[in-house]
Amino acid sequence: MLVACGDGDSALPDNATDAHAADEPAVFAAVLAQEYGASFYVINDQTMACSPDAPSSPTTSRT
Amino acid sequence: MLAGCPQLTNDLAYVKTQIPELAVETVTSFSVQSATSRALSADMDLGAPYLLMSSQEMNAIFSPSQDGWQLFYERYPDAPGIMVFSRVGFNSTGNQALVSWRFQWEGLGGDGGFIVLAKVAGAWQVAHKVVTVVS
Repeated sequence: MLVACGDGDSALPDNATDAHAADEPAVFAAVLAQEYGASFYVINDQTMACSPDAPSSPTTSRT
Repeated sequence: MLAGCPQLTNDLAYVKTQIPELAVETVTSFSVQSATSRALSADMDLGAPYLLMSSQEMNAIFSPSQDGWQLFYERYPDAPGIMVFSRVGFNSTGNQALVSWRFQWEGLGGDGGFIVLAKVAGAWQVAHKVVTVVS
């Protein structure tokens, strides 16, 4: 499958990009614990998709 | 370049300049995954209790006729705000991950950007954070 939002250079087969998808919750858990440390979370039930209108005002911090 | 996502393309280019060790394949995987939205599962193990909130519930809470954040914190007093995640991009060996997030809290407060994680001894650790949205 090629991705509608990307060009040909960035497209990968599903089986390549989904190979580690089972690790997604562990990644989310690490971000929540290490960046926010709350006892309860409310999370949007849909993941973000790329948006041409998303705002951006870059500042950087490194951990 | 992501032809349909100029802002994401710009943000990822910026992130790559900030994190030289971010692998091209991780960025490519992230770009592919980020093309579409996906419903999260309610049975994920996130290390803490969580509630998945639909856009319908958000619209009901944050309707113009009421103080949405007051209502939100009345309903969910232990929640610091509302988190939104992207899909996660991984490198081929599965030891580097890239995820985008947006976190909104009371009033106009919020932040977001990109986080690179490394898998060390079987556990994901935040390695770098690049903030691209601050309000």
